[in-house]
Amino acid sequence: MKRLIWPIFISIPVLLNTLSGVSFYAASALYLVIGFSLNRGSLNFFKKWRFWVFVLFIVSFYPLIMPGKDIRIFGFALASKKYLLESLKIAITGLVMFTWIFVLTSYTSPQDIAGFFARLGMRDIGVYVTIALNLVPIIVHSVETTYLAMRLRGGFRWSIRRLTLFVITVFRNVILLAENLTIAIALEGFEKCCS
Amino acid sequence: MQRSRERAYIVVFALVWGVWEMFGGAVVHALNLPFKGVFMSLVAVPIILTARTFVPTRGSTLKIGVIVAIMKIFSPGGFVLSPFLAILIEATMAEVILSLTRSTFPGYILTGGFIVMWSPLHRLLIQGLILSKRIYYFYLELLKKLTGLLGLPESQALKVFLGYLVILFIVGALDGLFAYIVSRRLKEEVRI
Repeated sequence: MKRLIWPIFISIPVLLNTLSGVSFYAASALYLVIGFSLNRGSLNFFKKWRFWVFVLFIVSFYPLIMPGKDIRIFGFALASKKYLLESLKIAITGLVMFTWIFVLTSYTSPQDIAGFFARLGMRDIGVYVTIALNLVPIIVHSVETTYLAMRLRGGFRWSIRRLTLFVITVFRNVILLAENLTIAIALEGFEKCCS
Repeated sequence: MQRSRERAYIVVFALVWGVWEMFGGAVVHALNLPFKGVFMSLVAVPIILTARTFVPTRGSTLKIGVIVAIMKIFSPGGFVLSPFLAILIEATMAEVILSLTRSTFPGYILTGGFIVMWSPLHRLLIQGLILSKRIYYFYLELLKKLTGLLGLPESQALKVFLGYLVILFIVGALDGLFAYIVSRRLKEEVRI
């Protein structure tokens, strides 16, 4: 089933954009049932009030502001029936896509994605990502130190000159880090795995 | 040694862009600021272009983009499809422009312009993919209404949107210019 996740996901916008009427609702229901059966965690969407606000916004906002209002309540022309149906379809498509994004993320690990790019010819990507993730604290510390140093030397006012100095300092530290990494790579630390 | 150096620079510049996408992106997203995408790409452009100055080989920018996209999965917000795709598209765009212009000054300007201009278009693309192409009808109607509010005829709606894109392109081009100045200065100072 894992191999079918991506093809099914890609087929959703293609199919739901071309179908109309009953077939659209049937296909959406089928996608939702498969999605929920693959990952029940995706049902958590229904518990979030933000999600319902989003759905309500999509369904109500456009029909209320669009021209051609033919739905009347207490004599007032309130909304457009044509746009209400279109909005409903948009909301259903969104619901199917969000469910499947959830399914997709639960079935796809970073290793899978690195593996995909490796098959495309970027074999060393996995190693690069691992090294980069290990260096995250160093770069965060470096940026913080630069910012604090500039503040201590007379305050950090946002001007082009200050910004240029800040960026150059950060990049210079980055280059120093790169030079250290170059030595590590040249000392065969990573060379064999990356060639 | 030169190959090792290239690898190290790819990793390190990807790291800087990745940190910005992971932490900066999470903060910008949480604050729900307007023009989030424009802001994110304005910071990304100098990183991409400075990286290209130090690693001028073909494919280096694309590699950086792929590393950043994978790093983005580890961001506090979790795996978000839209920024993941945005990073890959931006890197591909930069790679194509810089390869065609051989990383010259016009290439820097064009890369900056196109990357910044892409952010609203990316939003439209993603919303079209997730919420179906039907959403475009509404956007078009909204644009017509907005054009009416500006006191212009509705037929000018597309021109208003194109005007907005041109403004973004100019802002991005200025960012590209900033990146060019910074990277040249760095190259002179470091002299590798």
